[in-house]
Amino acid sequence: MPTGGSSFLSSLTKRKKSPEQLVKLAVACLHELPAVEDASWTCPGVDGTKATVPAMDGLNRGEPGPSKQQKQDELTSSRHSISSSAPSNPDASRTSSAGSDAGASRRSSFFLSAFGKKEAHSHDSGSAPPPHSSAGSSRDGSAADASTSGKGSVGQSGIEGDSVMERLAKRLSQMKLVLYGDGEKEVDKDKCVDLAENIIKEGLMPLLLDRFTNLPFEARKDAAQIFNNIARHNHAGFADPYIADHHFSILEQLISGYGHPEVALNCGSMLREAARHEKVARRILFSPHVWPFFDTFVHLPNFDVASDSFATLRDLLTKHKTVAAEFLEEEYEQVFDKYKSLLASDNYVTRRMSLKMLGEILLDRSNFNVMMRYISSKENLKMIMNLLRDKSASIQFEAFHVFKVFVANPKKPPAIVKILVTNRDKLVTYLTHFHTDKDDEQFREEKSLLVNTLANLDYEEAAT
Amino acid sequence: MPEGGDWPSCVEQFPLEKKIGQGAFATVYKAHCPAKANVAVAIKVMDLENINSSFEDIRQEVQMMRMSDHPNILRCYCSFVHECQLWLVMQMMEKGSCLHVMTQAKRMGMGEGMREEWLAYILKESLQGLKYFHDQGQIHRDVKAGNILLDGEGHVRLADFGVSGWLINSGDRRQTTKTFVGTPCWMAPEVMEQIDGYDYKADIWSFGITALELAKGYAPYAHFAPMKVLIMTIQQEAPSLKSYPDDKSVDGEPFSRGFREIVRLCLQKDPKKRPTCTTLLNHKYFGKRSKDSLVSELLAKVETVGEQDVENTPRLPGTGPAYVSHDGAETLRAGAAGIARGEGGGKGEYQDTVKAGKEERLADGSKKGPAAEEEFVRGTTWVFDDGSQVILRAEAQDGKGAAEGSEGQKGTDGTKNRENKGGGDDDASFYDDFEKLTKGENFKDGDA
Repeated sequence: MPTGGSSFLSSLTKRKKSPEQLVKLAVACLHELPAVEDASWTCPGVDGTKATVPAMDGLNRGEPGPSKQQKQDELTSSRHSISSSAPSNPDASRTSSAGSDAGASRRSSFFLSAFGKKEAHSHDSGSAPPPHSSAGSSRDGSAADASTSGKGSVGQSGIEGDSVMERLAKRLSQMKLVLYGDGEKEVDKDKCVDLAENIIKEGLMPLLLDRFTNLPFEARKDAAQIFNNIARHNHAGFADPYIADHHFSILEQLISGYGHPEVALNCGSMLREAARHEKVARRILFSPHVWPFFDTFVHLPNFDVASDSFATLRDLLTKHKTVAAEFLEEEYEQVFDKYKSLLASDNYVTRRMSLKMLGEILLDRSNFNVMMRYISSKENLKMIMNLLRDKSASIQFEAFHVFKVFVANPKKPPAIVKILVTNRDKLVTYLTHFHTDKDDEQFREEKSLLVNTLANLDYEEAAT
Repeated sequence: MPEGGDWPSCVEQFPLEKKIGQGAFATVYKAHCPAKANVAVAIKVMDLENINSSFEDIRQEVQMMRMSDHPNILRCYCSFVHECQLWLVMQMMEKGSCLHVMTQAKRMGMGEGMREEWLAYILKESLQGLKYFHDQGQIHRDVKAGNILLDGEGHVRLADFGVSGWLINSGDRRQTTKTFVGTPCWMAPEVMEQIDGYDYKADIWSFGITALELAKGYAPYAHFAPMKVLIMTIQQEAPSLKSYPDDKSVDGEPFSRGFREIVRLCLQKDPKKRPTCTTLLNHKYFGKRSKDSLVSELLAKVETVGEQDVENTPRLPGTGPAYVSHDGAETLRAGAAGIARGEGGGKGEYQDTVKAGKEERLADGSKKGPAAEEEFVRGTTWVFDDGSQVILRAEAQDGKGAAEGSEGQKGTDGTKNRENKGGGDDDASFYDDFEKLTKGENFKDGDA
C-alpha cells in the first residue's frame, strides 16, 4: 500500500477506475518514462547491412532532443519540398498536412487543458497529485524532462511498489478489458467512447508511441489492441478526424515502426486498422512516407516484417478504390518505376505477391486509366513476359493474369503488337501447353482466347 | 518480440543438420546457429510453391508465433525467404512432441500412454499456454499430443499455429469463426457441424481429447476413418475412458477421479457448458504438479528427435489433418454420404490424398516448377528487338521446335542464330545469346 495514503492515485487504486482515470494514470506513468531517442531509427537494408530507412531521416524522428514543434517544422518543410516536386498533390493532402501541424501544438494544449479539467474533476483528491504536476513540467515528454520528473514522481506516487512499467502495463490491460470485454460480458459501448475521448484528450497514443520500443512485449500488444479497437469503431473520431486531420505524426511513428523488428508487427496492425478509414489512407498515400514501403520495407530480409508491410501496402493500394486510383494516376511514374524492383526482386515472395497485386490493380475497373497506361508500355510487357517464364509455376500463373491484359487490349500500340507478333509462335506454343493441369474453366477460356488473339495478330497491324 | 531483431535472416547462418519432422508441405530440420552461441534451433522449411494455404494464412501463422511470448508457447526467432521456401527458425524442443515421446516409449516396451503424474503435469503446462492464447483472443484449433512439444528438462510448449485463427484479429473480438480446420479426432462437434460457428471452447474439447490421448496413447476414435470420426463425434455421446478397450493407465492403475472429472468437463457437447482455461487451471487437479518423474523416468529414456527415422511412424486413420475451406460444410456432407455408402472408400480416398501429397514432396524435394534445372522455361526465348521479319520467322520456327523438343534444342536454337550473324538482322540472335549468358536477365539494353 502506498505511503501517501491520502494521495489522489492511491485512493484510485481501491475502486474500479473510470476510463478517464485509467487514461490519466497511464499518461502519468508515461511521463515518468523517457521517450525513445531516435537518432538510430535505422533498419537492416535490403542488402542485409544496416541502412537508414530512407525518407525517415530528419523527416520523422530526427536528431535527438528536438522539441515536438521543431520536429513538426522539419516535417512540414520536407513535406513542402516533396509536394512542390509533385505539384499535383490533391488539396486534401495539403490542407490536412497543415492540419497536422496545428494538431501538434494542440497536442500539448490538449494536455494542459486536461490539467485544468483534472483539477475540476479530481473531487476525490484534496490536493494536486504529484505525477500530474511532474507531467505538466515535462509537457511534451522530451527525454530529459521526463527522466528527471520520473525520478521524482516514482518516489512520491509509488503504487504498491510496482515499477512504472508494471503500472503502465496494468492500466493498458485494464483499458483493453473495457474495449474487448472478457469474452463473457457485453462490452459497454458508452464506456468505450468515453475511454477513446480521454485517450484523445490526454494525447495517450503519441506518448505511448514515443516510448513504444521501450515498452514490455505484452504492453505493446495491449496498446496496439486498444488502438485497433478505437480506430476500427472510430470511437470519438479517433481515426477520423483525430489521426487523419490532426495527428499525422501518429501515422509517421507507426510507419517508422517498420524499421524496428521488435515493434514492426504491432505498428503494422495499427497502421492497417487506421487505414481502413479512407481519409487516413489518403493521408498516407499522398505523403512521402508511402515510398519506404516500396523502397525498403517490403524488401526487408525478415519475412514477418516484410510480409506485414506488404499487407499494409496492399491495403493502401486496393481497399479504397477512388483514393488508390487517384494516387496511382498522379504518382504513376514513381509507383511503377519502383514497382519494377518488386517484380524483379530476388525474393520469391516479393516477386509473387507484387505480381499478384499488380494483376489485381490493373484489373480493377477504377484503375482503368492506370491499366491503359501500363499495358501500353513495351518495357512493362517485357517484364511480364519474362515473369511468364519464371521457373516458378505460381509466378508464371500470376504473370499470365497480367500478360492477358496486354494481349486483350483492343488498342495495342504498335510497339506492343510488334513484340507479340515477333514471339507469336513461341507464345502460342507456350500458352497451349501452359498450366494444362489447372482445373479452372475461366482460366482455360482466357487461355484459348489469348491463343486465338495471338494467332490472328497481324504483323501489318504492327507496321502501321 | 522475444530475442527479436538480432537473429540473422539468411540460410548461410543455419546449416541444416538433420531432418526431424516431415509434413505435406513442410520439413523440419535441426540446426545450430553460430551467430547465436551455437544454440540449437528447429527450422521449419515450407515449400511456398506447392503449399496449399495462402500467403496471408502463412503470414498470420508466423505473426502468431512472433507475437507470442509465453513459457508454454513455442517461440519463433526469425523467418526469411530462401528461393521458394520460407524458413521459420524456432526453438528446439529436443524430445519432440508428446506423440513422438509416446511412440518412442511404446517401442521401448513401456506400453501405450503416459502415467497419470506425467500427463497431469503436461496438461497443466499446456493449459497455461492455451490460456495465454485465449487471453490474446486467439484460438489454437489444433490442440493435440502431436502439437505439445517437450524438451529434456521437461519444459512443455504448444506448437503449430498453422491453423490457428485470430478471434481478436484487429480491432474486434470476433465472437465466432467458421473456417473448418483441424484434425478430425480432436475436433469439437460444433466445429464439424458448422452451424453456429465456434469459439475458444472448441480448444477445450480438443484439450479433453488430448487428455485421453496422453492417457491411452491414441485419441478415442483414432482407428476410424476421418468421416466416420466426424459422424461419431456428432452423433454419439462424448468420448471418455470408456471409449477404450480398458480404462486403466499404462501402469495398470485406474485413473484418478480428478482426471475423469477434467475429461468429462472438457468433453461436453454443448460448448457453453465447457469450462474456460482459467476455470480448469483453478481445478484442484491442476494444483501442485511436478515434472521430476516425467523427466527422470520418461524423457531421460527416450531419444531426442532426429535420432530415428521420422518417416517410420505410421499414422492412424483419423489423425491426419483436415484442411477444408469455407465451403467445408458441403464437402463434409458429401463425404458423410460417401461413408453411408461404404466406409472403406472414404477411408482409402482420404489416406491416398494425404499420402500423395507426402510422396510427391518426398520424391522431389526440390520441385519448383516445370523446369527446376533451368532458370526459365524452355521455348520461351522471347525476342524483344526490332530485327527483320525474315530472321524473326525463322527464329519463331526454331522457337517452336525448341518448345516441343528437348532441352538440347535450345542450344541448336542459339547455334543457328549464331550462324546467321553478320546480317543487319542478327539482333535477335544476339539477344538470345545474351539471354543465355545472363540466364534470362533483363532486356533493357536491347531496347535501344
